Amino acid sequence: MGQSRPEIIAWVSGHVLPHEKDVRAWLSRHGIAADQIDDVVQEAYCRIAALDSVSHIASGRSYLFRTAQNILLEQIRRARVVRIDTVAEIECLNIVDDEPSPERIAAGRLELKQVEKLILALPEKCRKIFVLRRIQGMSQRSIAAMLGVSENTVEAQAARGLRLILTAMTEQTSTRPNGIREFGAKVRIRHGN
Amino acid sequence: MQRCESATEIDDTAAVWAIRLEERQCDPDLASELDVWLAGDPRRSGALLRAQAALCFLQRGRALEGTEAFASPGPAAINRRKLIVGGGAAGLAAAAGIAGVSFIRRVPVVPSLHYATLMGEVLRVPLQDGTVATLNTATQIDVAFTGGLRAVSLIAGEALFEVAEDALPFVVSSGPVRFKTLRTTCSIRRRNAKSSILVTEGTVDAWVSKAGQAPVHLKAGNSALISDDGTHRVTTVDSAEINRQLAWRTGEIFLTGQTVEEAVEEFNRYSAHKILVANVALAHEKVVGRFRSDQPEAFANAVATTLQAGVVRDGNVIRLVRATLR
Repeated sequence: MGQSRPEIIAWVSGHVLPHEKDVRAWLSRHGIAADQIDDVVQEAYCRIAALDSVSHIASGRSYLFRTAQNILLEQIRRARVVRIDTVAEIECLNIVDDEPSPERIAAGRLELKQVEKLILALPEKCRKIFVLRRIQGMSQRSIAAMLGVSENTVEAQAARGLRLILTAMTEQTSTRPNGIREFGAKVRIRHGN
Repeated sequence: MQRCESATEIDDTAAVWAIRLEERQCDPDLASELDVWLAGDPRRSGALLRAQAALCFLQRGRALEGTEAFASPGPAAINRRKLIVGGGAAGLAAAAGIAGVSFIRRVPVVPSLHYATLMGEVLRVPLQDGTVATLNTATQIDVAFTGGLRAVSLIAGEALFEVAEDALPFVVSSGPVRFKTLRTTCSIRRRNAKSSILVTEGTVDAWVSKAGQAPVHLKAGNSALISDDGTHRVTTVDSAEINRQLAWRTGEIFLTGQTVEEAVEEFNRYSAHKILVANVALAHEKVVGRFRSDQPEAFANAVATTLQAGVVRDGNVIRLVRATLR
């Protein structure tokens, strides 16, 4: 049975997007170049966008990791000149399974704080518009009237803010994210109790 | 396929589309324009989904209104009440405009005495003293600020009171139970001849009217369950548990080891689709996870998948069943 687009968007928002940062960090640790990571991640979202329903997916996190892994494998196979060990290595990349770990739960609780931080970090003009629109709940038109600018300007600034926030949410940080372990023999996949 | 755009460039345009789609939902030209854009490159659909998901995530920003970081009427913030009262039509238009975007419905400040939510609704009510009451699902309150008292009665349901500091006492009645404060943030729920309260800021005195007992003094981090007959239990909860219990403000349910039975009871508060657990052992299993309170199906499916159960839908009833294990 198909799901509505808003349902899928809400699911991606809650179950996929929060894990993108980890997927990027994971790909990066395996020596994948930054622009290739961008492509892999974008392709992964394309595949999700093509789904009629996501209700069969038990874990957005695992799904994102596995999809990224598949895309990477396909790309490498298509590239013809491939170090034979690269494929083998990627095939056995150990994806940490996605029982909701205590860390993830804790991270979830921090989300409001995170939204606050993301918004406060925006450049001033952008932030002003973002606060009025997203926090105070004013309409684009009222904001334009209040600030004496065109609605297009408000819209453009909103898009810019969204873009900056998306980057801040998903870009890699130098610290290793929780819930991800290096692949290899030492790894134990986490399961629930 | 020719690659003329980088992933980053696509992401830039996708952000513009996500905003446009949200702002101009009713624009018929937009859909065809969007189709043209999407058809230009298969990667664009992914970028759009991602940008829309981020926008959806940012909807929780509405819950930040009035918080410390955004409270001061500095250059980046304006006073909400001024906006609605002083802004007149524009303020009302702003309030109406957000209805489609956020699930928090807002009402203008009027000296109305009765506020109510339907099942699944969350309503923010700014009161005349600057206090904000946020009503959870299926809740009714009466407000009467007269006779030197800021009096609110919680007739049914659950509400969060962010009580503005004032010399006049703020008193919430829940059946015969009274909660009195000068300044606090607390959530109070009335159910089955019992009242529960969670205090996250300030202090509250609680007692049962005419029971002749000394008031119970509650402070931030205290949670109390008070029966109409006067028996009570006070516990202390940590900030993680506080956030869990207040997750309804953003339309969410957090489970951190509650039983399936407890979780189902919670979900059933928010939706006409009721979950029934048809197996005792299953009802006692413990679950962990985050869900949207308006999506009981997602919860039922998650339980089915992780706890080897089946989901049987029957009209408005979602039945969780489990074959008897040998």
